[in-house]
Amino acid sequence: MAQFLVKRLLMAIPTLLLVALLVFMLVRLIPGDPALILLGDGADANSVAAINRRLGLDQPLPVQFFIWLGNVFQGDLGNSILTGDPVLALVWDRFQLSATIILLAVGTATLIAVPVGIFAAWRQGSGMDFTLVALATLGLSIPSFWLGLMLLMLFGIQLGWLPVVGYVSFGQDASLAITYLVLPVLTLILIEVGVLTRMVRSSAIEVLRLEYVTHARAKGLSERSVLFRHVLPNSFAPTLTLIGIVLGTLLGGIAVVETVFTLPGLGRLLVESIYSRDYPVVQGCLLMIATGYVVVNLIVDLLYPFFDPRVTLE
Amino acid sequence: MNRLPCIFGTVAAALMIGGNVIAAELVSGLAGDMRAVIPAGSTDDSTLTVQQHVYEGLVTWKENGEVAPMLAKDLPQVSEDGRSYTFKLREGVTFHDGTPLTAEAVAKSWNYLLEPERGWSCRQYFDGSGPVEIASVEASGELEVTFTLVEAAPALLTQMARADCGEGGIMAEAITSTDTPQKPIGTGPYMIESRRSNQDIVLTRFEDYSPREEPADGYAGKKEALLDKITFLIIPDPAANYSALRAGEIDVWPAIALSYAEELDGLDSISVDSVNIPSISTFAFQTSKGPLTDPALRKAVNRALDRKGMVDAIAMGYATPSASVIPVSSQFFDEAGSEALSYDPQEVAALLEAADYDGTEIVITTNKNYSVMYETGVMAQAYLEAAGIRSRLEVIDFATQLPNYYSGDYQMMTWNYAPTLDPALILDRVTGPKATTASKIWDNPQARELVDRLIAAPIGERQAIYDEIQTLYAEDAPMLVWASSQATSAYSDKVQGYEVWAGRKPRYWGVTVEE
Repeated sequence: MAQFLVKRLLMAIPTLLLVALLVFMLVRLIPGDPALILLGDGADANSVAAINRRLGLDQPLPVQFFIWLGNVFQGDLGNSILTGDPVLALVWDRFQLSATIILLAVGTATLIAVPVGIFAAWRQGSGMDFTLVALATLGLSIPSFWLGLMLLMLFGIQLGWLPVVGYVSFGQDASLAITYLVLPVLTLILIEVGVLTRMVRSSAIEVLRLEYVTHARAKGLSERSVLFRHVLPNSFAPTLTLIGIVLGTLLGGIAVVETVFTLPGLGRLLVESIYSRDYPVVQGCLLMIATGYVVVNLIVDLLYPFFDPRVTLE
Repeated sequence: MNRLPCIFGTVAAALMIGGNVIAAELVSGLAGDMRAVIPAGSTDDSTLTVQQHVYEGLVTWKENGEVAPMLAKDLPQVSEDGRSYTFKLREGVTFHDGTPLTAEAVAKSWNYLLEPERGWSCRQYFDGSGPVEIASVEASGELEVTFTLVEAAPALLTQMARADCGEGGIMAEAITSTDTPQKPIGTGPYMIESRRSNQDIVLTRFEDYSPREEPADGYAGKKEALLDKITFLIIPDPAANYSALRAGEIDVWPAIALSYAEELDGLDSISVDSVNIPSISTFAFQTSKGPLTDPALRKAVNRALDRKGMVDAIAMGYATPSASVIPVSSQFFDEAGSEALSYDPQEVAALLEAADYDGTEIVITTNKNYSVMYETGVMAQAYLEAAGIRSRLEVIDFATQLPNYYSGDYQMMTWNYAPTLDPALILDRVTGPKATTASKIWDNPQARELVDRLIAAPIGERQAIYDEIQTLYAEDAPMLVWASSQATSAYSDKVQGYEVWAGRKPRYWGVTVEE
């Protein structure tokens, strides 16, 4: 296992280098001038040139890339063009919040989706199955911004139970921080539970048709034992893959939810930085997301043998 | 009888009578983060909104665009040759870090801003690019500072007072002595306590603030810091601002999305106020190349747009339809001047004939980042099609539109100008030779000469020059003005003393919040 881990970590290095190069080039291919955006609509050519000189944006692209890459290897992702904040601290701070929301939401969604999906598969074709599939489809079809706004209106404005905007970190006030996280986490749960339920159900249906399940039943095992000892472990492996993909995708895709709830997360930072052509921050965010993908995939691969005995880490 | 309320009431009244202020905090929405430490290092509204509570300049604007002293005791003495301006500073003024305001600090602050490598976008108004070129700024006494110009330029004070340049706010030496200043330090009524990137900015009352005696007027006069604390919550999303205001989590939404105006106005605990501001909503024309080089076609496009229909549909009535380059809020606005290019479908056909219009397509560039700009583009396209002028909408993001505007790479582009209390400066912005500054819209030497005269003229002598400009503008039709903008704010009824005003950006001096 240790050998597998080292091998995978080494393989991640060229992946991240390629990501770094692509991110650097793609960001600069988008039309727009960060100095112009920084200065605002009263800017003149001399000021724009001065700012570009100060930021090193007047250098040839390869020079800019190698300076940036050299700094990245030293743990320096540069400073935000717009606010001057150090990118590494900014991105790490935002990543922690986004990761907290995503892990809470996907974890809870998984805990709900697994029994519900297996139950629906067990009752395949029944009215209950139809209802659960319909609810799951509804959940994954609702746009997250709409659902978020509706929850905000209900719990924030009508009932006044939960705060509507802003964020307080766990370090500042843990109980208050939880109140700020309830609605965004709930929004994501309601959507992701639909995605995961459908996946668990379809995997479980396949497993339920296999001969060893029939054999288990023929041996006289209770349905509960059949479902939880034989069906669940064997149908969870594909869901695990999906969870990995969802975790990675949400790191960037959570921007909509973060915008609705004005949470200072990684997704919102990325989107705002793209709009303002804040190159160092865009690069930092994308590198963080790519690293997140690599780590999540690695963890999924490490967990896979526990659910599917056919897979080994050799 | 319960005497407790009486006792509290008496204590509160005593506090108020004694000139003290009950502790109060105001929470305001802010569309974006503060992007610069130096005054107007970025000229976006969010940066300037925060900075106008922190920095003060030597001179500033009254609400009618007149220049008034702020840190200067009075307006400066001008030498006979008009090249030397000597400001005497007010005594007893200190910066937020406790250091005193001295002529040396003022000179350092101005020289810092004027160094080319600082990239101060307002340097262009003082470096000879326009009529003003500063040769030096020097301390000529402990509390006396002298600006020397290369040539006499009566426009100096107007340019120094510009709110979009942060009045050339005077910075403490803690800022001017470093290349990496951390936070704004000025002499204003509030000081920066903390800032969390893209989350919030907290200001607290500057206890040693030294206000002027004159009544508050525009950015000038007495700035009373009645609040203990101002928290700017950074909320870019209009729906989130709306929710926050309704839930009582912010007290003021300074620039509301107009689609929420009617609903907010119907609520008991929230007020919506709107005033005309010296700003115009426009389409910039590229007059040096492409289909809009012919003035007759530009006039036809002007005549084809029903501005009232646009204002009703896009701005929900919170703007004033106008074709005039002079904002409706200005004392120099003349309704007749607006008529020359206003909606007239009958006239369009004659103008198209005069232009020999052959059906060439006009590209209208706009963006979706600002919904008003997008909707403006959509409506303009519909009106042009109805008038028989072919057009196509090009939708890009604002960050792409910005360099296109500056390089002149467009045919017709939605563009709105930030308000300046002296509307002459909008004309200054748009008028000039495209050959040297591609972002200029109105390339007519006669117009430029008139604008130079306008800026240099005292307020009382400006009307005749404005009339001449309006006539020339109607002949050239270098752009399309469709509305004079309004500032529209929504705020909780707990907020006392808050006024929506011509400068658009919220002023929180003289404001209190009922607990």
